[in-house]
Amino acid sequence: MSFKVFIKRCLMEYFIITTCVTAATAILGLCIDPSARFGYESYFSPLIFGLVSILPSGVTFSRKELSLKQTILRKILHFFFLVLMLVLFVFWTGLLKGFNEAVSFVFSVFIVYVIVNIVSWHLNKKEAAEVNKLLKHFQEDTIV
Amino acid sequence: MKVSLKKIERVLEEHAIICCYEVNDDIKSIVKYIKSTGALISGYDEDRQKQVVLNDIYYIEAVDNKVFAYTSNNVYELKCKLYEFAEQYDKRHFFRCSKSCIVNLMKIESVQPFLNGRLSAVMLNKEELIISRQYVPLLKKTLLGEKI
Repeated sequence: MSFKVFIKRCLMEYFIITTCVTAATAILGLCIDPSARFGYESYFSPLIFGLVSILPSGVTFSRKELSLKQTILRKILHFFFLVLMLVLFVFWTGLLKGFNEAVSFVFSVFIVYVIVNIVSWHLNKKEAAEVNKLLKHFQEDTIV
Repeated sequence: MKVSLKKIERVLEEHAIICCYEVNDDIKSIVKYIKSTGALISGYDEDRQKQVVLNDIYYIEAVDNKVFAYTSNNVYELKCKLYEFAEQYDKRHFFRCSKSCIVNLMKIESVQPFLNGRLSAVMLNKEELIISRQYVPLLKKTLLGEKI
């Protein structure tokens, strides 16, 4: 994979992450502390979280084709570094203080991670269906 | 079916015209046979040189500086570089699907999603090949008949 393609993929994932963080904040906020009120600066929160979340993606970059095992290993490493970076970030900013809060935070990160991967898989599946359609037409046109 | 033959000058390209009421399976197989005729490539099967029909090749793979052609039940070593094969036969439905592999588009049964935006090509003999993410847009262009 070229670096340009990698950056393009990171950007796509960044926008998916920011959307998911916004949705997760709204849902968890309504469940945990529905009376809380925020200022305009809170709009930056999903954007910053998106940026911090995208940095560990460097682990997944490789110029060579990765095998299935290597891909899975890198995905696990990616999740580990992602959680580590986010937990350090939220403790550094003072957003979280206790252990229980940290556990629920890691859980919500896991949910977002799963959703991002499901969306990526769905897009990939859509692309495969499109290629299959084109392939079928191509083969039919070539034979006739 | 009535068959007519017509000799032409060497400067002209050999071609076949089939006049039929409808394009049925018989016609399709005749077309397929005509298209495969004449397109041969030299391959080595345990140091014995053999002529391999190009359309019988499923994919070409480069392994340790050697290039191999895979048919449904045989493997032949080719005495050419992968890029040379790609340049020579890209008009004959062969597509570069990764750095080390060229696939015959006519031998792909279907493609399936794989991890990290890659696709997996399921061949007619059920073998699976990885189509790199960077080659997917090129594959779409090729299938649409656009110039790459």
